Amino acid sequence: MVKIYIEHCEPALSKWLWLEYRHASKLAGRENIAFCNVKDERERRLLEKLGEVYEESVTELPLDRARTVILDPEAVLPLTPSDFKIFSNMVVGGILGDHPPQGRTFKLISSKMRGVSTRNLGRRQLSIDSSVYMALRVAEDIPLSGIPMKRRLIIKVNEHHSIMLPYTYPLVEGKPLVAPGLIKYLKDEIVKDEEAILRTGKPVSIADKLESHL
Amino acid sequence: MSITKYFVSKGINYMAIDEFLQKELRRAGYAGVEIQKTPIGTRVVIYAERPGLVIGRGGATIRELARALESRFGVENPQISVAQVPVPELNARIMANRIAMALQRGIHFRKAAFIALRQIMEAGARGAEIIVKGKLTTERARYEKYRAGDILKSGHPKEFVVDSAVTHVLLKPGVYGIKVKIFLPSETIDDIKIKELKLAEEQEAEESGAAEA
Repeated sequence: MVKIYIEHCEPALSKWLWLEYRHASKLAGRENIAFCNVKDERERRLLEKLGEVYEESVTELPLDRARTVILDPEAVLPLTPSDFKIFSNMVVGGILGDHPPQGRTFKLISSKMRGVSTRNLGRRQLSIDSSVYMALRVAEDIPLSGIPMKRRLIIKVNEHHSIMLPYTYPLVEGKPLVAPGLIKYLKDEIVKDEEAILRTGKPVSIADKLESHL
Repeated sequence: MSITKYFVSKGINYMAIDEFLQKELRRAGYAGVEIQKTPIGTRVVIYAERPGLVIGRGGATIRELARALESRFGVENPQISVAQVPVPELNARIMANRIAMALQRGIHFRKAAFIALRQIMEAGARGAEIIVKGKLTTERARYEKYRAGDILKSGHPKEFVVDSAVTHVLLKPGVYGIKVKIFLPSETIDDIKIKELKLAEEQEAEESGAAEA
Protein backbone atom coordinates (compact mmCIF):
# COMPACT_ATOMS: atom_id res chain seq x y z
CA MET A 1 0.00 0.00 0.00
CA VAL A 2 1.28 3.44 -0.92
CA LYS A 3 1.77 5.99 1.86
CA ILE A 4 0.00 9.27 1.18
CA TYR A 5 1.63 12.50 2.40
CA ILE A 6 -0.70 15.50 2.43
CA GLU A 7 1.23 18.77 2.49
CA HIS A 8 -0.81 21.25 4.53
CA CYS A 9 -0.45 24.49 2.54
CA GLU A 10 -3.27 26.65 3.87
CA PRO A 11 -2.71 29.30 6.57
CA ALA A 12 -5.17 27.61 8.96
CA LEU A 13 -6.98 24.32 9.32
CA SER A 14 -10.47 25.49 8.38
CA LYS A 15 -13.47 23.24 8.89
CA TRP A 16 -13.74 22.75 5.12
CA LEU A 17 -10.13 21.53 5.03
CA TRP A 18 -10.67 19.38 8.14
CA LEU A 19 -13.68 17.65 6.52
CA GLU A 20 -11.64 16.87 3.41
CA TYR A 21 -8.66 15.60 5.46
CA ARG A 22 -10.98 13.45 7.56
CA HIS A 23 -12.55 11.97 4.44
CA ALA A 24 -9.13 11.33 2.88
CA SER A 25 -8.03 9.55 6.07
CA LYS A 26 -11.17 7.43 6.02
CA LEU A 27 -10.61 6.49 2.37
CA ALA A 28 -6.90 5.62 2.67
CA GLY A 29 -6.88 4.38 6.27
CA ARG A 30 -5.27 6.15 9.25
CA GLU A 31 -2.05 4.13 8.97
CA ASN A 32 -1.52 5.05 5.31
CA ILE A 33 -1.81 8.82 5.59
CA ALA A 34 0.45 11.55 6.94
CA PHE A 35 -0.03 15.31 7.24
CA CYS A 36 3.05 17.49 6.79
CA ASN A 37 3.86 21.16 7.30
CA VAL A 38 1.42 21.54 10.22
CA LYS A 39 2.98 24.40 12.19
CA ASP A 40 0.24 24.95 14.76
CA GLU A 41 0.57 22.58 17.72
CA ARG A 42 -3.20 22.49 18.38
CA GLU A 43 -3.83 21.58 14.74
CA ARG A 44 -1.18 18.85 14.99
CA ARG A 45 -2.96 17.37 18.01
CA LEU A 46 -6.24 17.36 16.09
CA LEU A 47 -4.76 15.79 12.96
CA GLU A 48 -3.11 13.00 14.98
CA LYS A 49 -6.59 11.48 15.13
CA LEU A 50 -6.51 11.14 11.32
CA GLY A 51 -2.95 9.96 10.68
CA GLU A 52 0.74 10.71 11.23
CA VAL A 53 1.54 14.39 11.61
CA TYR A 54 4.79 16.23 10.87
CA GLU A 55 5.67 19.80 11.66
CA GLU A 56 8.18 19.77 8.79
CA SER A 57 7.25 20.13 5.16
CA VAL A 58 7.22 16.98 3.04
CA THR A 59 10.05 18.62 1.07
CA GLU A 60 12.24 18.30 4.20
CA LEU A 61 11.34 14.72 5.12
CA PRO A 62 13.97 12.04 4.41
CA LEU A 63 11.85 10.20 1.85
CA ASP A 64 13.34 7.92 -0.80
CA ARG A 65 13.02 10.32 -3.74
CA ALA A 66 13.19 7.57 -6.34
CA ARG A 67 10.12 5.95 -4.77
CA THR A 68 8.15 9.19 -4.29
CA VAL A 69 5.63 10.74 -6.66
CA ILE A 70 3.89 14.12 -6.44
CA LEU A 71 0.32 14.45 -7.71
CA ASP A 72 0.52 17.73 -9.56
CA PRO A 73 -2.06 18.94 -12.13
CA GLU A 74 0.86 20.47 -14.08
CA ALA A 75 2.66 17.11 -14.46
CA VAL A 76 3.07 15.86 -18.02
CA LEU A 77 2.28 12.19 -17.39
CA PRO A 78 -0.97 10.85 -15.95
CA LEU A 79 -0.98 8.47 -12.99
CA THR A 80 -1.22 4.85 -14.16
CA PRO A 81 -1.67 1.55 -12.29
CA SER A 82 1.93 0.56 -13.17
CA ASP A 83 3.22 3.59 -11.19
CA PHE A 84 2.25 1.82 -7.99
CA LYS A 85 4.93 -0.85 -8.70
CA ILE A 86 7.59 1.90 -8.59
CA PHE A 87 6.35 4.40 -6.02
CA SER A 88 5.64 3.80 -2.36
CA ASN A 89 5.18 7.45 -1.28
CA MET A 90 2.63 9.79 -2.82
CA VAL A 91 2.46 13.52 -2.11
CA VAL A 92 -0.87 15.35 -2.36
CA GLY A 93 -1.18 19.12 -1.98
CA GLY A 94 -3.43 20.07 0.93
CA ILE A 95 -4.65 23.08 -0.97
CA LEU A 96 -8.12 24.50 -1.26
CA GLY A 97 -8.49 25.39 -4.90
CA ASP A 98 -8.54 28.71 -6.61
CA HIS A 99 -10.58 29.23 -9.74
CA PRO A 100 -8.95 29.50 -12.23
CA PRO A 101 -6.16 27.30 -10.75
CA GLN A 102 -2.92 29.07 -9.79
CA GLY A 103 -0.63 26.02 -10.01
CA ARG A 104 0.13 26.18 -6.29
CA THR A 105 1.06 22.46 -6.07
CA PHE A 106 3.97 23.18 -8.40
CA LYS A 107 4.96 26.43 -6.67
CA LEU A 108 4.75 25.07 -3.12
CA ILE A 109 5.79 21.42 -3.54
CA SER A 110 7.05 20.20 -6.94
CA SER A 111 9.46 23.11 -7.46
CA LYS A 112 11.03 22.37 -4.04
CA MET A 113 11.40 18.62 -4.66
CA ARG A 114 13.50 18.59 -7.81
CA GLY A 115 14.21 15.11 -9.12
CA VAL A 116 10.98 13.68 -7.72
CA SER A 117 8.55 12.26 -10.31
CA THR A 118 5.24 14.00 -10.86
CA ARG A 119 1.96 12.62 -12.19
CA ASN A 120 -1.40 14.23 -12.90
CA LEU A 121 -4.96 13.06 -12.25
CA GLY A 122 -6.24 14.92 -15.29
CA ARG A 123 -6.24 18.60 -16.09
CA ARG A 124 -9.20 19.51 -13.94
CA GLN A 125 -8.97 20.63 -10.37
CA LEU A 126 -9.92 18.11 -7.69
CA SER A 127 -10.54 18.42 -3.98
CA ILE A 128 -8.00 16.80 -1.62
CA ASP A 129 -10.17 13.80 -0.72
CA SER A 130 -11.14 13.33 -4.39
CA SER A 131 -7.43 13.22 -5.32
CA VAL A 132 -6.84 10.53 -2.68
CA TYR A 133 -9.88 8.56 -3.90
CA MET A 134 -8.72 8.76 -7.54
CA ALA A 135 -5.18 7.62 -6.62
CA LEU A 136 -6.55 4.68 -4.63
CA ARG A 137 -8.77 3.65 -7.55
CA VAL A 138 -5.80 3.78 -9.93
CA ALA A 139 -3.86 1.63 -7.43
CA GLU A 140 -6.68 -0.93 -7.78
CA ASP A 141 -5.72 -1.22 -11.47
CA ILE A 142 -8.41 1.10 -12.80
CA PRO A 143 -7.09 3.64 -15.34
CA LEU A 144 -7.98 7.32 -14.85
CA SER A 145 -10.18 7.23 -17.94
CA GLY A 146 -12.24 4.46 -16.30
CA ILE A 147 -13.26 6.63 -13.34
CA PRO A 148 -16.46 8.59 -14.06
CA MET A 149 -16.23 12.27 -13.19
CA LYS A 150 -18.58 15.20 -12.78
CA ARG A 151 -17.59 18.77 -13.47
CA ARG A 152 -19.03 21.36 -11.11
CA LEU A 153 -21.12 20.54 -8.10
CA ILE A 154 -24.32 22.49 -7.56
CA ILE A 155 -25.76 22.43 -4.06
CA LYS A 156 -29.32 23.69 -3.82
CA VAL A 157 -29.82 25.35 -0.45
CA ASN A 158 -33.44 26.39 -1.06
CA GLU A 159 -35.57 27.61 -3.96
CA HIS A 160 -33.80 31.00 -3.95
CA HIS A 161 -30.22 30.01 -3.23
CA SER A 162 -27.69 27.60 -4.69
CA ILE A 163 -23.95 27.12 -4.27
CA MET A 164 -21.68 26.03 -7.11
CA LEU A 165 -18.24 24.51 -6.61
CA PRO A 166 -16.19 24.83 -9.82
CA TYR A 167 -14.21 21.61 -9.30
CA THR A 168 -14.35 18.05 -10.59
CA TYR A 169 -15.72 15.24 -8.46
CA PRO A 170 -15.44 11.47 -9.05
CA LEU A 171 -18.78 9.68 -9.28
CA VAL A 172 -19.47 6.75 -6.98
CA GLU A 173 -22.62 4.83 -7.91
CA GLY A 174 -23.65 7.83 -10.02
CA LYS A 175 -23.29 10.36 -7.20
CA PRO A 176 -20.42 12.84 -6.77
CA LEU A 177 -18.06 11.90 -3.96
CA VAL A 178 -18.11 14.73 -1.42
CA ALA A 179 -16.62 14.75 2.07
CA PRO A 180 -19.33 13.81 4.60
CA GLY A 181 -20.62 16.91 6.36
CA LEU A 182 -19.33 19.32 3.71
CA ILE A 183 -22.71 20.05 2.13
CA LYS A 184 -24.29 20.78 5.52
CA TYR A 185 -21.31 22.97 6.39
CA LEU A 186 -21.59 24.95 3.15
CA LYS A 187 -25.33 25.38 3.56
CA ASP A 188 -25.53 26.42 7.20
CA GLU A 189 -22.28 26.89 9.07
CA ILE A 190 -19.84 28.55 6.69
CA VAL A 191 -21.47 31.99 7.10
CA LYS A 192 -20.48 32.11 10.80
CA ASP A 193 -16.86 31.29 9.95
CA GLU A 194 -16.78 33.81 7.13
CA GLU A 195 -18.25 36.53 9.32
CA ALA A 196 -15.51 35.82 11.86
CA ILE A 197 -12.92 36.21 9.06
CA LEU A 198 -14.50 39.51 8.02
CA ARG A 199 -14.47 40.71 11.66
CA THR A 200 -10.93 39.71 12.55
CA GLY A 201 -9.25 39.64 9.13
CA LYS A 202 -7.63 36.32 10.07
CA PRO A 203 -8.41 32.82 8.79
CA VAL A 204 -10.42 30.75 11.27
CA SER A 205 -8.86 27.48 12.43
CA ILE A 206 -11.00 24.62 13.66
CA ALA A 207 -8.61 24.49 16.64
CA ASP A 208 -9.77 28.01 17.70
CA LYS A 209 -13.38 26.89 17.57
CA LEU A 210 -12.73 23.79 19.66
CA GLU A 211 -10.79 25.82 22.22
CA SER A 212 -13.65 28.29 22.60
CA HIS A 213 -16.00 25.34 23.26
CA LEU A 214 -13.82 24.06 26.12
CA MET B 1 -9.21 54.58 -41.39
CA SER B 2 -11.77 52.13 -42.78
CA ILE B 3 -15.41 52.41 -41.70
CA THR B 4 -15.20 49.14 -39.73
CA LYS B 5 -12.10 50.27 -37.86
CA TYR B 6 -13.67 53.67 -37.18
CA PHE B 7 -16.77 52.16 -35.55
CA VAL B 8 -14.74 49.56 -33.63
CA SER B 9 -12.49 52.31 -32.23
CA LYS B 10 -15.59 54.36 -31.33
CA GLY B 11 -17.04 51.33 -29.51
CA ILE B 12 -13.79 50.72 -27.63
CA ASN B 13 -13.64 54.38 -26.63
CA TYR B 14 -17.25 54.21 -25.40
CA MET B 15 -16.43 51.13 -23.30
CA ALA B 16 -13.36 52.86 -21.84
CA ILE B 17 -15.46 55.93 -20.90
CA ASP B 18 -18.12 53.69 -19.36
CA GLU B 19 -15.50 51.81 -17.33
CA PHE B 20 -13.89 55.07 -16.20
CA LEU B 21 -17.22 56.54 -15.07
CA GLN B 22 -18.17 53.29 -13.35
CA LYS B 23 -14.96 53.47 -11.33
CA GLU B 24 -15.22 57.18 -10.55
CA LEU B 25 -18.94 57.33 -9.80
CA ARG B 26 -19.57 54.07 -7.96
CA ARG B 27 -20.65 55.93 -4.82
CA ALA B 28 -23.08 58.06 -6.84
CA GLY B 29 -24.87 54.93 -8.09
CA TYR B 30 -23.66 55.17 -11.68
CA ALA B 31 -26.12 53.49 -14.05
CA GLY B 32 -24.85 54.24 -17.55
CA VAL B 33 -23.88 56.90 -20.07
CA GLU B 34 -25.24 58.11 -23.39
CA ILE B 35 -22.93 59.93 -25.78
CA GLN B 36 -24.27 61.92 -28.76
CA LYS B 37 -22.29 64.00 -31.21
CA THR B 38 -23.85 67.42 -31.88
CA PRO B 39 -22.73 70.26 -34.20
CA ILE B 40 -21.33 72.24 -31.26
CA GLY B 41 -19.73 69.42 -29.31
CA THR B 42 -20.62 66.15 -27.57
CA ARG B 43 -23.68 65.67 -25.42
CA VAL B 44 -22.94 63.30 -22.54
CA VAL B 45 -25.85 62.12 -20.38
CA ILE B 46 -24.82 60.35 -17.19
CA TYR B 47 -27.52 58.28 -15.48
CA ALA B 48 -27.08 57.95 -11.74
CA GLU B 49 -28.96 57.15 -8.56
CA ARG B 50 -27.64 60.26 -6.76
CA PRO B 51 -27.08 63.06 -9.31
CA GLY B 52 -25.88 65.41 -6.55
CA LEU B 53 -22.72 63.35 -6.09
CA VAL B 54 -22.03 63.39 -9.85
CA ILE B 55 -22.38 67.18 -9.99
CA GLY B 56 -20.36 67.83 -6.84
CA ARG B 57 -20.12 71.04 -4.79
CA GLY B 58 -20.65 73.97 -7.15
CA GLY B 59 -20.31 71.59 -10.11
CA ALA B 60 -16.69 70.73 -9.22
CA THR B 61 -16.98 67.00 -9.95
CA ILE B 62 -18.77 67.48 -13.24
CA ARG B 63 -16.11 69.98 -14.42
CA GLU B 64 -13.39 67.52 -13.48
CA LEU B 65 -15.21 64.76 -15.40
CA ALA B 66 -15.53 67.01 -18.45
CA ARG B 67 -11.78 67.72 -18.34
CA ALA B 68 -11.00 64.00 -18.01
CA LEU B 69 -13.32 63.06 -20.90
CA GLU B 70 -11.70 65.69 -23.12
CA SER B 71 -8.07 64.97 -22.28
CA ARG B 72 -8.10 61.20 -21.68
CA PHE B 73 -10.74 60.02 -24.16
CA GLY B 74 -10.67 62.75 -26.81
CA VAL B 75 -14.33 63.74 -26.37
CA GLU B 76 -14.79 67.09 -28.15
CA ASN B 77 -16.31 69.87 -26.04
CA PRO B 78 -18.28 67.58 -23.68
CA GLN B 79 -21.62 68.99 -22.43
CA ILE B 80 -22.40 66.80 -19.45
CA SER B 81 -25.90 66.51 -18.04
CA VAL B 82 -27.00 64.21 -15.26
CA ALA B 83 -30.27 62.29 -15.17
CA GLN B 84 -31.68 60.49 -12.17
CA VAL B 85 -32.69 56.86 -12.54
CA PRO B 86 -36.41 56.69 -11.61
CA VAL B 87 -36.37 53.28 -9.88
CA PRO B 88 -32.77 52.44 -8.92
CA GLU B 89 -33.81 48.97 -7.67
CA LEU B 90 -34.71 48.02 -11.25
CA ASN B 91 -31.29 48.94 -12.58
CA ALA B 92 -28.88 45.99 -12.60
CA ARG B 93 -25.78 48.14 -12.55
CA ILE B 94 -26.87 50.12 -9.51
CA MET B 95 -27.79 46.96 -7.64
CA ALA B 96 -24.47 45.28 -8.53
CA ASN B 97 -22.64 48.35 -7.25
CA ARG B 98 -24.71 48.38 -4.06
CA ILE B 99 -23.67 44.78 -3.39
CA ALA B 100 -20.03 45.61 -4.18
CA MET B 101 -20.08 48.53 -1.75
CA ALA B 102 -21.71 46.37 0.94
CA LEU B 103 -18.89 43.84 0.53
CA GLN B 104 -16.32 46.61 0.85
CA ARG B 105 -17.96 47.66 4.13
CA GLY B 106 -17.45 44.09 5.44
CA ILE B 107 -21.02 42.84 5.11
CA HIS B 108 -21.26 39.14 4.31
CA PHE B 109 -22.05 38.61 0.63
CA ARG B 110 -24.98 36.28 1.39
CA LYS B 111 -26.66 38.98 3.47
CA ALA B 112 -25.91 41.68 0.87
CA ALA B 113 -27.24 39.55 -2.00
CA PHE B 114 -30.46 38.63 -0.20
CA ILE B 115 -31.12 42.27 0.72
CA ALA B 116 -30.58 43.31 -2.92
CA LEU B 117 -32.80 40.48 -4.16
CA ARG B 118 -35.62 41.57 -1.83
CA GLN B 119 -35.28 45.23 -2.87
CA ILE B 120 -35.45 44.28 -6.57
CA MET B 121 -38.55 42.13 -6.11
CA GLU B 122 -40.26 44.77 -3.93
CA ALA B 123 -39.68 47.33 -6.69
CA GLY B 124 -41.89 45.22 -8.94
CA ALA B 125 -39.45 43.13 -10.97
CA ARG B 126 -40.78 39.91 -12.49
CA GLY B 127 -37.62 38.12 -11.46
CA ALA B 128 -33.99 38.56 -10.51
CA GLU B 129 -30.79 36.59 -10.33
CA ILE B 130 -27.61 37.52 -8.47
CA ILE B 131 -24.37 35.56 -8.81
CA VAL B 132 -21.43 36.22 -6.53
CA LYS B 133 -18.18 34.51 -7.56
CA GLY B 134 -14.68 34.32 -6.20
CA LYS B 135 -12.79 33.26 -3.10
CA LEU B 136 -15.72 34.17 -0.94
CA THR B 137 -13.72 34.84 2.23
CA THR B 138 -12.50 31.22 2.46
CA GLU B 139 -9.42 29.97 0.64
CA ARG B 140 -11.50 28.02 -1.86
CA ALA B 141 -13.33 29.59 -4.78
CA ARG B 142 -17.05 29.04 -5.16
CA TYR B 143 -20.08 30.65 -6.81
CA GLU B 144 -23.30 31.45 -5.05
CA LYS B 145 -26.51 32.12 -6.96
CA TYR B 146 -29.58 33.85 -5.54
CA ARG B 147 -32.79 33.82 -7.51
CA ALA B 148 -36.39 34.95 -7.18
CA GLY B 149 -39.27 34.93 -9.66
CA ASP B 150 -38.67 34.15 -13.34
CA ILE B 151 -35.70 35.14 -15.44
CA LEU B 152 -35.33 34.91 -19.22
CA LYS B 153 -32.09 33.27 -20.25
CA SER B 154 -32.36 33.25 -24.02
CA GLY B 155 -34.41 34.44 -26.94
CA HIS B 156 -35.10 37.79 -28.52
CA PRO B 157 -37.36 39.26 -25.74
CA LYS B 158 -34.43 38.86 -23.30
CA GLU B 159 -32.67 41.73 -25.10
CA PHE B 160 -35.42 44.16 -24.08
CA VAL B 161 -36.77 42.96 -20.77
CA VAL B 162 -33.72 41.67 -18.93
CA ASP B 163 -31.26 44.21 -17.58
CA SER B 164 -27.92 42.68 -16.63
CA ALA B 165 -24.68 44.02 -15.23
CA VAL B 166 -21.35 42.72 -14.00
CA THR B 167 -19.05 44.41 -11.54
CA HIS B 168 -15.85 43.43 -9.78
CA VAL B 169 -14.59 44.33 -6.37
CA LEU B 170 -11.13 43.71 -4.99
CA LEU B 171 -11.10 42.58 -1.37
CA LYS B 172 -8.44 40.96 0.82
CA PRO B 173 -9.13 37.32 -0.21
CA GLY B 174 -9.16 38.23 -3.91
CA VAL B 175 -11.40 39.60 -6.65
CA TYR B 176 -15.15 39.07 -6.31
CA GLY B 177 -17.35 39.06 -9.38
CA ILE B 178 -20.97 40.19 -9.00
CA LYS B 179 -23.49 39.58 -11.76
CA VAL B 180 -27.04 40.92 -11.51
CA LYS B 181 -29.91 40.15 -13.89
CA ILE B 182 -33.30 41.78 -13.51
CA PHE B 183 -36.44 40.74 -15.40
CA LEU B 184 -38.08 44.17 -15.71
CA PRO B 185 -41.82 44.58 -15.01
CA SER B 186 -42.82 44.75 -18.66
CA GLU B 187 -44.70 42.33 -20.85
CA THR B 188 -42.94 40.32 -23.51
CA ILE B 189 -44.48 39.74 -26.93
CA ASP B 190 -44.82 36.03 -26.22
CA ASP B 191 -46.65 36.51 -22.92
CA ILE B 192 -49.75 34.33 -22.87
CA LYS B 193 -52.73 35.07 -20.67
CA ILE B 194 -55.02 32.19 -19.79
CA LYS B 195 -58.64 33.23 -19.56
CA GLU B 196 -60.46 32.31 -16.40
CA LEU B 197 -62.92 29.45 -16.82
CA LYS B 198 -65.82 31.50 -15.50
CA LEU B 199 -65.11 34.27 -17.95
CA ALA B 200 -64.93 31.81 -20.84
CA GLU B 201 -68.30 30.28 -19.91
CA GLU B 202 -69.90 33.70 -19.67
CA GLN B 203 -68.45 34.59 -23.06
CA GLU B 204 -69.85 31.38 -24.55
CA ALA B 205 -73.28 32.14 -23.10
CA GLU B 206 -73.10 35.66 -24.47
CA GLU B 207 -72.06 34.39 -27.90
CA SER B 208 -74.84 31.78 -27.99
CA GLY B 209 -77.34 34.45 -26.81
CA ALA B 210 -76.23 36.73 -29.61
CA ALA B 211 -76.53 33.90 -32.16
CA GLU B 212 -80.10 33.04 -31.00
CA ALA B 213 -81.14 36.69 -31.28
